[in-house]
Amino acid sequence: MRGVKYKFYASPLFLFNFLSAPASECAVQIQNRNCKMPNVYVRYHAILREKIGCPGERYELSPAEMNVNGVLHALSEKYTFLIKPLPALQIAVNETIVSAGAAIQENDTIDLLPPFGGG
Amino acid sequence: MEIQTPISSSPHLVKLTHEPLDAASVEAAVQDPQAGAVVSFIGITRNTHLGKTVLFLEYEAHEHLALKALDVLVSGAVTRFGLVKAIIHHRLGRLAIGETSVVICVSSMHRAAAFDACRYLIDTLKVTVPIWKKEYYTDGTEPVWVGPDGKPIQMTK
Repeated sequence: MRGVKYKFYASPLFLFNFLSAPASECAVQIQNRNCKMPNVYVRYHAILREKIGCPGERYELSPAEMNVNGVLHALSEKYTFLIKPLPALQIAVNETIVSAGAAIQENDTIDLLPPFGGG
Repeated sequence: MEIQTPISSSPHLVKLTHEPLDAASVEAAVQDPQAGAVVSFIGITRNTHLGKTVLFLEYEAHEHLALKALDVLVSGAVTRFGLVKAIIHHRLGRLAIGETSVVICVSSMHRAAAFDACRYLIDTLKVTVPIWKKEYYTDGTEPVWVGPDGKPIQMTK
């Protein structure tokens, strides 16, 4: 099995899949598709989009995790390099900036906003 | 391409655009018979930063949120400083050195309020408006996302 997996990643086809993936989705999704859990769409901006390598992806959350903190927790488990900078991010739910305790609902769009630098 | 907010109470007062900014027209637009003072801040892309020579810059925004935040900023400043008018235009996309990235113009009855408000608007814009700036350098080193304090944003361990 391991050999097959390696071959998949090493093949030029994998690169093709990555390049042709829809702009709104990461090439690799880790969510568990067997159980029916509410999911939300998380968008990454600026430096965050570059570090993660895609503009956004879907997350499945347990009902108990359906708040901004739950999203941040899921995110820091998937991308451990984010644990430290996470508190510096601002979060928007459906295009309104909210606090970390804010509740979220199925199909909400969540924007992760790194520190700003306009002007 | 101009992006204006349909939800803005004062859509003509804030603007994000990929086109070059026209500071003179913004300055003219804040003039008013009631106003004895106009103060402008014009942000211009500079060729040095962090000890390196800057080749060009890229600005991007969460446009919907940025327009909302700019609108809140402008209307808040008008109330707080008793301004007659205030306008902010911010550029997006790739900018060469020497181009105008932001134009902030305010008018008030007397000069003190206009000076204070203009300073407040640019300082607050940098921390409350979701616009991001990336600098590219002539020496080929890694481009840097610059934070509100002018320092590189850290997003790794």
